[in-house]
Amino acid sequence: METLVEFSDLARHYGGRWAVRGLSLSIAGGEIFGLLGPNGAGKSTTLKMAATLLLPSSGRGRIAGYDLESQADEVRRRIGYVPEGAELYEVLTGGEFLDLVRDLHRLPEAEAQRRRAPLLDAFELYADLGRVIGDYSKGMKQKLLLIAALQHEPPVLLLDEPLDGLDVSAQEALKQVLRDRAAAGCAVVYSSHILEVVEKLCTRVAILAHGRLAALGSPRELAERLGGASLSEIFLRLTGGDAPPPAG
Amino acid sequence: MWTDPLLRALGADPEVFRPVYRVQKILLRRSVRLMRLRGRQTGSFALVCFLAGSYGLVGTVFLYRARVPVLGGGLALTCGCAYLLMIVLADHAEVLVLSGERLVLAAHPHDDRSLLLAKSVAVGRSLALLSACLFLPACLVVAHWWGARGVLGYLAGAAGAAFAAAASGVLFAVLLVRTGGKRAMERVMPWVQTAFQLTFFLPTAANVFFQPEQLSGFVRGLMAWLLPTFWFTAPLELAAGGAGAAAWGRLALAGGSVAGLAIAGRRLATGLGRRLLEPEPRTAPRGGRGALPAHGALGFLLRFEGLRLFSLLRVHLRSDWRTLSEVLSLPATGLLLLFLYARQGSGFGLLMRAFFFSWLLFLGADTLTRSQRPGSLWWLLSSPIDRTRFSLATISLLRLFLLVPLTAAVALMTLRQGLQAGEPWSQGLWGLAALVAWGDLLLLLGKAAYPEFPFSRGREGGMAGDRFALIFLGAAASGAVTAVLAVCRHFGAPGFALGALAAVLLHLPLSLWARRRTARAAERLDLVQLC
Repeated sequence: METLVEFSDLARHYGGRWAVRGLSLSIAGGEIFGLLGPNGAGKSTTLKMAATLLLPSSGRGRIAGYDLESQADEVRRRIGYVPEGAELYEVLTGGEFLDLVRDLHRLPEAEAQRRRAPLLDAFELYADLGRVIGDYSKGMKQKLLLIAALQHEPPVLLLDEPLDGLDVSAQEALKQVLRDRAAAGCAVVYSSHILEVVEKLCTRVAILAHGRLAALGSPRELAERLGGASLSEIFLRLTGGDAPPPAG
Repeated sequence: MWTDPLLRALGADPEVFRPVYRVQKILLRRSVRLMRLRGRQTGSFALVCFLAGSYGLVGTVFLYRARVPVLGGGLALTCGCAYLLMIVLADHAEVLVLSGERLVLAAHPHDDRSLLLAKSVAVGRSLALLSACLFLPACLVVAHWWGARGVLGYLAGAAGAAFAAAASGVLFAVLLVRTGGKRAMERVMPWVQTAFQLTFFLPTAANVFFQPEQLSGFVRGLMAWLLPTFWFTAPLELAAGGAGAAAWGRLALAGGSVAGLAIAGRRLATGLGRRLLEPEPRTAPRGGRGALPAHGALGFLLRFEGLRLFSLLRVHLRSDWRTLSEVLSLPATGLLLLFLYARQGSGFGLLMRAFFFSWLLFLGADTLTRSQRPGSLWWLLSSPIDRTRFSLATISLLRLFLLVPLTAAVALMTLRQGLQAGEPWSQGLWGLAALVAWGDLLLLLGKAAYPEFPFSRGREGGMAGDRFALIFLGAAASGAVTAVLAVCRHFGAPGFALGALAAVLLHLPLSLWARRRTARAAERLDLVQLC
């Protein structure tokens, strides 16, 4: 499969602290790639750089062959991004928000309706599309963000804690949607704290610690190579203890 | 679409402009916090337009009374521009630099120029509608006195003044965001909101202070040159005929200010589109606020639970700008109203002072029970505090922040008027004592009427009838107190002394009643109620 996500020595620092440092990765279409790490390990920063929300301090990144910095708009056309913590226009209705995203991605109305319908069914959001987002629960906002990220069927999905706030049926629906998208050739980058889900869902994982890549491989490979009985054991062994290094 | 070539000529992408413009229009229409109805997440732009129309009518009355282009037109334009500026600062500027928009839009295809243009056009359209409501009513008077040429001149001046006011507001907001980030804007919002609420009294204030027909030539001259809105009356002056070099001078000032604002706007707008969606800089954590004084005058006045409540108030209000603006506006409104009615001398003025003094104290009790985020009090439910005492401490807090400043203001006015009118000192002092005693009773009554836990009631929740009940109850209670004080005044110092004594006697039963109701409300408080 074609490589859709490519980071080469990617780094980003905030003031005096490195959030991500020397990250090199490639993710092919068809993969569900887990990004793991403790709080502050650099997962969200990596996804924000991939989504063009943050400029890298150094290094390069490419999405579907387009450079994150010089071809940001081309990148945006090819990604679906779900940030951590649902940030939305609270006074728009769910339908109005989906229409905004549809139009920004230049998707014809009829085509958008056709693609949106199964997602609205799966996430049980049809009846609430006419309500203003400010009235939505946390889970409903997360569902809306997921539909907005999926409706234009991008080749790359960047999901930061996508299960946050979802009920069990929506979680299962999302997992199935992600498997289907991956089977259709989409690269899914999935950041999470929930190791059990990552272990079952992801074909490969990267474990980040203090902004650096600490391990990379399929859950089975990592278990064989690092000798842990489960992903949790490996995770704890790789990420425990040390203070983050200073920038510079 | 027919606009596409124009948009392309302006450097925007129509495919991005159109959806963003559509959404910005909706945001502007529904985000009008100033007119947000209870129980609804969205505001009503129609109400904002209606209010603009009433400001326009006030301006028309000024114009009619003044009968002179400079003074009348200047007052009408000042009235409209004050409203426009506040709307821009309170609502439109926030839509223009919406905090958190980066996470909504930045990862979708967009370009900076289309985004900025869509926002500017949406804001411009909304302001044009409001300007029409503000300035068109006065055209009738202008047409009556100065004919069609006058109307054209007035409209040209109004357009310039509206542009200048709106641009000043937008530039101020953009500068604020550029220097202090989007959070700086959130910190300024309560003060803007308070200032806006005070402009509601502008017509009354103008009516009391401005007798346009009685202003001296010197004052008129000063206003014409020192108030920028007066510069924009120059086209009307010229159209009305008989204007001299001064009109041309003001025209030059008006034109210069518009050009200056346009240039400044162009400079500030450079890169703004990009900046709107760029990440917020990660700033170092700010140093903690100073510890609260555990002893001293404040500690003594507030006592123990009061000090805790004060601490909660400080923490809570940092993230609840609407409640903060209401808390700020209570003493500010009170002082303004007292000052306004102080000029009306004895009799009616005194009664109105007593009425507003009492009414604001009553409203204070309700204000402190409201919050934008009642759910954030969940931690109090699991904390080992005496909920009843904690809730009752709002009375001490209101005494300190409302009763004391209002009493001080009334005392100053009483002193001034007493000295002028040669009233006996004893009557003034007893009158003040009676007012304070009855005011304190109203604080207790307000607490008994609204015994809910501080910040436990949602600001948007509840029924619309809630607000009317509050206004009705407050007006009835304040009216009763005013009537009592009017009777006392009839008997002079002994009457006021008796009135004060009666209030002291009523204090105990009323405080017991307030305490019982507060305790019941505190017991009933649970998470469901908060969320």
